[in-house]
Amino acid sequence: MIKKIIKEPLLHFAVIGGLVFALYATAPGDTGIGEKQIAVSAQDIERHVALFERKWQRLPTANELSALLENDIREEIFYREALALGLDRDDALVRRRLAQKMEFISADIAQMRRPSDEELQTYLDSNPTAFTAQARYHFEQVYLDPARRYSNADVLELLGQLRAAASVDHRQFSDPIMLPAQLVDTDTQTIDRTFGEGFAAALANAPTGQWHGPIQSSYGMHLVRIASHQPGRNAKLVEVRDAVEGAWRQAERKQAQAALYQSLRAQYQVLIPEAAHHLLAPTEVQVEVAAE
Amino acid sequence: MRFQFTLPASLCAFLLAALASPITLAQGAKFEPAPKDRIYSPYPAENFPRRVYFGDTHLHTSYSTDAGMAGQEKVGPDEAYRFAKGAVVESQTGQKARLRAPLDFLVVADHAELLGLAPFIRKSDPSVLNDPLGKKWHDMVKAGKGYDAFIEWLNFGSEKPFDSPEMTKSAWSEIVDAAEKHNQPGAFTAFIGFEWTSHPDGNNLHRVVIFRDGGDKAKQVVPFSAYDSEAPEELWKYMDRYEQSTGGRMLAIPHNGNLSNGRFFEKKKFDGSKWDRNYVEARAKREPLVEITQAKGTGETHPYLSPKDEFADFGLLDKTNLQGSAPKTNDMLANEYARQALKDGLALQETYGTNPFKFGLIGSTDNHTGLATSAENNWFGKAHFVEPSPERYKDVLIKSLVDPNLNISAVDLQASGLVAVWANENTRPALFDAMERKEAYGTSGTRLQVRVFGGWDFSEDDLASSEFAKIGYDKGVPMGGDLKSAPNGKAPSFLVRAMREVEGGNLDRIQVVKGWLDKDGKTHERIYDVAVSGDRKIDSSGRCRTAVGNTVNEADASFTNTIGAPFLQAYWKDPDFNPEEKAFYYIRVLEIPTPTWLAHDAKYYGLKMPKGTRLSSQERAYTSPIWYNPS
Repeated sequence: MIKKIIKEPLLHFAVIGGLVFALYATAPGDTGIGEKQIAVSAQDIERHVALFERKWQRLPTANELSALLENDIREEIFYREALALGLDRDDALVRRRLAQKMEFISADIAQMRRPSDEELQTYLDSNPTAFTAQARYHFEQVYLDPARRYSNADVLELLGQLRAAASVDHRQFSDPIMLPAQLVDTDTQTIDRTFGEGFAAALANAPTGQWHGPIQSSYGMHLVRIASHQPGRNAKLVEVRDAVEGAWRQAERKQAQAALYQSLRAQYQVLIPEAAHHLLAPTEVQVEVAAE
Repeated sequence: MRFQFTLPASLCAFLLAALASPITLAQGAKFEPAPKDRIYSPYPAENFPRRVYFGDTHLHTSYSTDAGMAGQEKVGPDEAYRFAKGAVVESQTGQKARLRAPLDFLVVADHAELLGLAPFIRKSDPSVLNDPLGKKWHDMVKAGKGYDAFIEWLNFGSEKPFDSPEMTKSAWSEIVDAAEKHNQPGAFTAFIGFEWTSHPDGNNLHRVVIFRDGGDKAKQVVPFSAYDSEAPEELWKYMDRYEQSTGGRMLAIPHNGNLSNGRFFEKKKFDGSKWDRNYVEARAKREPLVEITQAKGTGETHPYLSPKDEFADFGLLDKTNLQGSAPKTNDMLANEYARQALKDGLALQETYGTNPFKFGLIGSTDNHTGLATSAENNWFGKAHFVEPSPERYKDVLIKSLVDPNLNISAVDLQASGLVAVWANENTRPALFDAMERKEAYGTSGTRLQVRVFGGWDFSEDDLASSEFAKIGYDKGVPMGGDLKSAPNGKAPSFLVRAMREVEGGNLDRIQVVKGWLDKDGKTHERIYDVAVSGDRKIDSSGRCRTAVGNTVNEADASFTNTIGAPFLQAYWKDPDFNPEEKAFYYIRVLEIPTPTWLAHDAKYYGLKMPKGTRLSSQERAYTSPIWYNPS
């Protein structure tokens, strides 16, 4: 029930709207002050003093403090005059920045909330392929150098020898190579990065506990004996909680932004010259607009 | 009461018997006591490096002023470490990038000079705004004139534009925090480091400084910058002070001698005065490695210095210095390239008692994109303005102020390089210690593996052993090691193995590069091919004069591994050994030709590259040397 309310776009809008209103209400230089008046608050001064002190380990002199304040005042005056002259209107940078700020506000709301384990579990359940624990193999391998041109019969004979000699060090059957003779509990990605794409997939068809092969790698042929194998599976939340939370946040952010935009968009009527309609995709909105 | 200690007579007899002979077990099997030199666990004796770790010790992010102020503001230290660990990261130009396989370690080595200026401008930090010049540049950047601010900064050269200890400290702390966050002992090493960027008159003397330690120690200092001093000697003193005051450890890695116009390996102090023992010892101690391959050129050797080395003409950038302020002349070359310096070091050791140029060889990227890419088919460029685009091959990386012929152009850059370290585990201390003992090598950007051991008692049979590394350490020394006082009548022999990257180009050959000092004080060099692919033969002079061939389809930016070999190995004994002569031996491994980034660009963007554009090249690896010293 609560989850449903939290996901409700209208509620998001109400929250965002309230937040925007709160921001406007507390913005400096707002209502109650005359056109050509700038009110410097005690907090403004305290902030400057504190910043200065932190940086220089002493209090600012009167001149220094005045200069810092004058900077603020200068910016405020120019800002107001620029608004009065409408300089904000034709400036693509200002427009984009303000539009971005609206987006950020909605994104921030998504960031503020800490998801419960239950929510993350739901997210994980609905996106299982994004969070898998790879299959892992513990295996030994014997390398056969292609330059030695092993025949099928040679390979079979080697396999027979390996199978018969259970307690013998398998490394003595291997041609020289700089690959590990034994891979302990190794994930499929690492296996493929070591032997080449497709090697791990070929291991999936090998039995456990017995010499098998040959399997082709990027370097040549290999005989392998799998000691143990853990199949790939969907990850548990405890194993990938950070990654799930990151993905969940991103999804929330997108959703909040989309919700905000949709609710605002619904309040606008967009007029498009009829002559241009045939150029546009026939989406729902535009059909509606076209009917106006 | 008196305590009486008695044993039944039968038990006494049994114990006496047991002491006299091996215990007889119930089944009749004999228990042989272990020899005295053996311990129960077999593993302490096998405590040697089992695998190689690939990394980049020289990566810049937006916190480097020449990257950040020039417009690379997206990829900072955090993103750089994430990228190195294999994450998808969006580059400055908005392109998604990822490594084929993650790196094992990374040093974010941002320039110490005005560290963090760009990001601190971006967040309008008071530490920038409180300085008039900082404020001015801040306002320029915010008004969209960031490039003009960058040029103003550049024009200050080695002069400090303004001082903001607060900014340096905060920026450093952020960089250290990023390394701390991403350092995962056993899985990924995020080293703390920085670059000291001294280039008097445009002559490159840059050094990357790496910490062995964590943030607790690193945060007790701030990076030493060229504003503090342009003299390497002063950097070494800073390193001394750090180690004394924190108990930590540091090493410095110089790079780009090729852009120093003869100053990199000059045999005098920075101020022109004569060397002394202190200088020589400090250099040997502080600079165990030299980065000889990176985007801005190769520093192994030059055809002028090594006329008999047909592979010397590779990745050269030899027209000028770092800033294109003066043309290069041949007399400068001897003080710019590693092979010559290694030779000079043998002679200098006679004079000073210590070899000042006893360094190992590595590679790294020096990318300023925050993206440690070094593969030709995945190269995001040296700087964000040469990230993949249809135009980048026409771009200029560094414009000369005096002569456009001295520009460093994008086409002259190579997707290079990497450092590989043979270490016991993937941790800061293990990798640092391996670098300090020079058990490291460099590649021109691929993950080619190479391992070499030198000793007096190796035999051909050792090559076939499945215990290659164990034999290597038992009977010899690895790359970076020392051989001393040749046993009577013996010449040093070497075991070498090399294997190409998993999906990379096959190997052409393994070479031994030998340098030595004769009794008249003259130095020499000679190259021996010790393993070649296919049916080619090594002649009686120790060379294979048959080229491996070239399968590169330039239009398709592709190649096939139908030539070369995925793996080569060799046992080689020096046929020209003179026990009286100091010498060094390093390994060079060449791959078959593969397409360059220019070929990949041409294919991807459908471009026609100008005639003469380098579309294929033989990637390679260089190991740290093994030195022989008669005494």
